[in-house]
Amino acid sequence: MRLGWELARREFQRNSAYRAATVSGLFTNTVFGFLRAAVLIAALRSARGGRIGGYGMGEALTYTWLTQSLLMVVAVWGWNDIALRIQTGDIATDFLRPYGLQSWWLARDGGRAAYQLIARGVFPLFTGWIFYSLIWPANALRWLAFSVSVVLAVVVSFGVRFIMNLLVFWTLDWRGVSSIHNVLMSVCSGMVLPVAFFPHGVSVTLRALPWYQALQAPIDVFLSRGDVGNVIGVQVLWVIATLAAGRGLLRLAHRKLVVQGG
Amino acid sequence: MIEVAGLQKSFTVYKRRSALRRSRTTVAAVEDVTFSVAAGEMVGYVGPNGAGKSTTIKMLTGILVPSAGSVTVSGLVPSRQRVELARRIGVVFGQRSQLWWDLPLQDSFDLLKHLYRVETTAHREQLDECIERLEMQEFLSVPVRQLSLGQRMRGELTAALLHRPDVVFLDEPTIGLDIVSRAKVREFLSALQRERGTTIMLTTHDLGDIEHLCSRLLVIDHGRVIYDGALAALRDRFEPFRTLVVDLAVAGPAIEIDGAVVVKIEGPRQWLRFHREHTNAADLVARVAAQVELLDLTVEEPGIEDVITKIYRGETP
Repeated sequence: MRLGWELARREFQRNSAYRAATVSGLFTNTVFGFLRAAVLIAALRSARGGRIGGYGMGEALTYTWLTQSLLMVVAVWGWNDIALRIQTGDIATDFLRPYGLQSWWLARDGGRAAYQLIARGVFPLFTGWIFYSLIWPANALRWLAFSVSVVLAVVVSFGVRFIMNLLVFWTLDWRGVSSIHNVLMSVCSGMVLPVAFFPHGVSVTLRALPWYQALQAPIDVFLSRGDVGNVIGVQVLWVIATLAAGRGLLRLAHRKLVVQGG
Repeated sequence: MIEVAGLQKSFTVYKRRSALRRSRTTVAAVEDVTFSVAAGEMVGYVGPNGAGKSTTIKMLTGILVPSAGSVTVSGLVPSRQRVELARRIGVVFGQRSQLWWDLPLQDSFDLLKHLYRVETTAHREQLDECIERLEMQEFLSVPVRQLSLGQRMRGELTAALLHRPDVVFLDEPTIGLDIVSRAKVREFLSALQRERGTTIMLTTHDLGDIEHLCSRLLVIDHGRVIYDGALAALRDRFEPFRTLVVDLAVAGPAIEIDGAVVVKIEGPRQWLRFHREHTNAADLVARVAAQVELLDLTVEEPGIEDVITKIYRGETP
């Protein structure tokens, strides 16, 4: 437990070492927030009744700025720290630690997410609040549920990313895996469009898949869409499933391990 | 401390035949390796590139799972008890880093304290000793990515030893280091073995490492151990000839004498090769001196480098 905390703390520090990247990322996030907001506003204005999939103007704008806030926290664009170590063979030194590889990286991802939440998460939502009228959780309990849901979203996202990274043991190249991951993550997580915008059958299916748990789930909790207990319950199931699958895959990978570069 | 019997590791390699077809072959990196290392020994594990050295080390440390054979290190089976074993061993791979790239060296050391659950005082003591012996004080707060190779290597060594392991595996620990850093690392390692009785196994291509550090050598080639013994005995076994070099008063034809053969002549200087067991050097010198007038003479031992080259080339008896 202590080690996990120390790992998270150092990963937080490590991320904060790159200030220029944070500032430029923040700027991009915010600009894209305005662009996406404009597109959604235009879409809703032209829609019959001014609503799409149950989203009115308030929901759509809140969704936009929340996704801009959370996209780095849940690492929508992927993360290849482990894949790179597999490609270079440095993964060998990771196997030399008296600590599980998955726990090691989960703790580090916690530190990374915490940094991104503070450095990249707060400002876009604040910008949205200044320029648009957003919908806010009704009470403290809802805020609490949202926080829990964000933490679960980070862990599911980690679980999925861990699996994608381990696939490099077999493919030996991150690029192919990465493109599949990016497509699945941006479409199925609700990053490109709210999951509710899809036809009913599709959106119901997406809600049951892991990518939804990593981004749209906390947003739905924030917007009070659907039963909160239900949403969080499914997230918990996916946390267990993705972590267990990652662990199994790691065991397989270790058995067939070839250290690149000797 | 280390027991290895009939160890094997093979990898499947795919070769491209055409755009769509590829063929599968199995390559044995380690074919049949057997040896044992007692507690407190310092053993050099040498062999040409691709001989299977690193693969063996990776099986000994639990990174790779052997295809066949058995391994125990400090009483544990590495591939099955990897995490437990990790607490008892220290490993340095010269070409890989276990330090945290973006953070100061000191931070990596602090983290290791938590990773190995070392008590603060014990950690401090061990760290201070390493800092002093490896002269690391001035770069402790520098991020690892800014360290020179020599500095980083000293950091790696420290990182591998902070939890006071029973066994240390070093895979080319002096690769790329300058003479001064190399000497420092060697000095440190021999002190570690001498003073604390740590078992050390190191692979290297540096013959200086072998001569300075290893009382015992394991030579591996094509995945098999081809020599296991003392360095001096290796020379006797693989290079039984010595050379007597004589400077004559007057240049002349090749000296003809029993038990030695002239292998080279340069003006008044001649090189006579003789077998270390069959011909006595003092006796040979006396007989040569009786035949021709000598100004100077030396007896040359074959260099360890020559011996190893011969072994690598497969010119072994």
